Amino acid sequence: MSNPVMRQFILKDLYAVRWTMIGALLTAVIALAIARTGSLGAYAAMIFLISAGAAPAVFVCMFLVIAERKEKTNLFCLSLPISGRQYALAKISAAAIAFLIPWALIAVLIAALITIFPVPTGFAPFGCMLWTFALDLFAMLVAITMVGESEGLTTAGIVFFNTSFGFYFFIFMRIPAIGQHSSDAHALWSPIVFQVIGAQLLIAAALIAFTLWRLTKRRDFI
Amino acid sequence: MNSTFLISQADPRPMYLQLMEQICQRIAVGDWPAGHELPSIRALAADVRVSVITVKRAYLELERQNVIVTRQGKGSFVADGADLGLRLRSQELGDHLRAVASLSLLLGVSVEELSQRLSEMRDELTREKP
Amino acid sequence: MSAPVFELSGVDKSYPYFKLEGVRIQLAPGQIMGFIGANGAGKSTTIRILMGLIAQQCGEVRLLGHPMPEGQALAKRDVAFVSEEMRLYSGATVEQHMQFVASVVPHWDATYAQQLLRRFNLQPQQKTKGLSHGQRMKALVLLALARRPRLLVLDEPMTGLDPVARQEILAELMDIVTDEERSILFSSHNTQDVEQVSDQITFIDRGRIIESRDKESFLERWRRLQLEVPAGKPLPPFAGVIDVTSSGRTAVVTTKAFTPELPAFYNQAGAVVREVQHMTLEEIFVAEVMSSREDPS
Repeated sequence: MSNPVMRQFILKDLYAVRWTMIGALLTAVIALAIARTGSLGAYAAMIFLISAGAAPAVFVCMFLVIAERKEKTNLFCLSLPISGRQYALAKISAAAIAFLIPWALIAVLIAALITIFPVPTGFAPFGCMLWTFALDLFAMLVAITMVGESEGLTTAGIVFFNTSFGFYFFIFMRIPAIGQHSSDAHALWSPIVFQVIGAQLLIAAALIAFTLWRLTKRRDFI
Repeated sequence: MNSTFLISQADPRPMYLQLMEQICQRIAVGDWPAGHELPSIRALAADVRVSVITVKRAYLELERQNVIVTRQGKGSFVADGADLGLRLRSQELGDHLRAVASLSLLLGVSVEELSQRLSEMRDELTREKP
Repeated sequence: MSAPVFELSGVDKSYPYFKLEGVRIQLAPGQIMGFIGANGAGKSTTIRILMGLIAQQCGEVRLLGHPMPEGQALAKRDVAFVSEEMRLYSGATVEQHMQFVASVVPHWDATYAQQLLRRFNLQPQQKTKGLSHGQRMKALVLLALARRPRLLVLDEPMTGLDPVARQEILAELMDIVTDEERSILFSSHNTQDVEQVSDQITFIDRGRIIESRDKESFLERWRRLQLEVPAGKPLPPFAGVIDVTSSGRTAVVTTKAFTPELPAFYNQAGAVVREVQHMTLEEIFVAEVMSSREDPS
């Protein structure tokens, strides 16, 4: 019975962050357009693509969760026929949808393009690792903003988010199976790639599960 | 939209008394003749912007003084002879005032002094009323 | 006797620097309750517990018969809540808020909503970030009233409002009074906001309910007597007298249980009763609070 209410809350949140989703898609499209314009283009494209895929995580969490708490619009929401738990669940769902739609669409777009066009695909395994790593960052931000209610923790989370890509490159490019083949014409899908991707998916799921579990225990929503 | 009833928080008297007085005024001048139906308690409360309980009290007191009659399920009505009664009392007041005026002229009591003594007397009476 | 609109009994809630203890209040349908307390006394906490936003640590809460906080989604279908701290989405318009609320509540009176827009002089296309404090409160009240709730809960709605806005909102609230099935809970730190229209008055101070009864009862039982006392003679005690302040030959007696016997009693004791005054709700509130702080039993 409250599901129609939750649906409206999710739609409201998605509408609120529509520009984030659209912006991410546009950034990705632009990135892909310039990808073949030389090595600078390729480099810029990579950076834009990572931003397009991962940055929405920050915007969505800041805008949907943090802002609402700070500006006390959550009080307004909770005055409506929805329980604290349903409200939190609707939030997480909206955040997930708002993040995953561009994330998935961009992934599909890239996959389609590299299938159609004759481009070197050596980077694909690492690209997939990086792309699923974005899921972990998203899940981490959701956990931090929904469960931890401190500004310090949120800031730490964002700092980690910004710096993590650099470390990710550093750590994983040193693995020979990955680093030495990323510029090849053909992708080398070594077992370690699948292990990393698998682990990352598990971590993301675990973080979300943890968030949901903590929310079922929460009794005060203001 | 403002009500024609005026309840003032600045007035030291309890609100229900102010309300009663204004209802009696309407009856005395004939705006609300005998048999006239009073507004429902809730309607009057909303109109005057006072609590329902204040209006209830006013109506109860007025009924006790036989100024209005409440019929179960039908509402409250101005009692027969209520307007007459109030008008008579008003006339009585006029007569008393005449006597006071003439006496004060006789004794050489000024209007100011008269006013002062009247004021004191009213205060005393208000105090005594529980 | 129909079921109470809400009931709290034995409600406790502890915070590091504040404790709500043994809160017990209830409201019959068709009444307005004025909930008065100083800032920090616990009004907002009590209201949030009532609305299910916070869970009580012990005690029972029922809102329109639903146990709280478990039943809050159901209860809030017929309960609207406006708080002075509440904010709207700054990037969205008044109209968008109306559409959103209409989409999640069971009863939305669109005609009435339009009327309220006109009466409150709100522009539907205006983004809420441009609204003044008074306009924001009016918008929140509009969103609450157009739901035609059975219970309207207002947490300090008049705070910071100019007199005109206050009257505009009060006028609309009185519309609820005409329906004997609808009720209002109205909190304020200012007795004047609440005094005129309330049927029931509840006082809260330092996390405890001091008193909760119908307004006329308060106004009838409390009196202040000014006495002239013979020098050197202390006044004998009398039940219900909670304060005697003397200065030379003048004494002011405050009682919470006035009977006509009291002036006679003092007369017999040799004092002269100069004046017997009614007290305003504000004076009663202060006296109750002072008396309870001295003797928190």
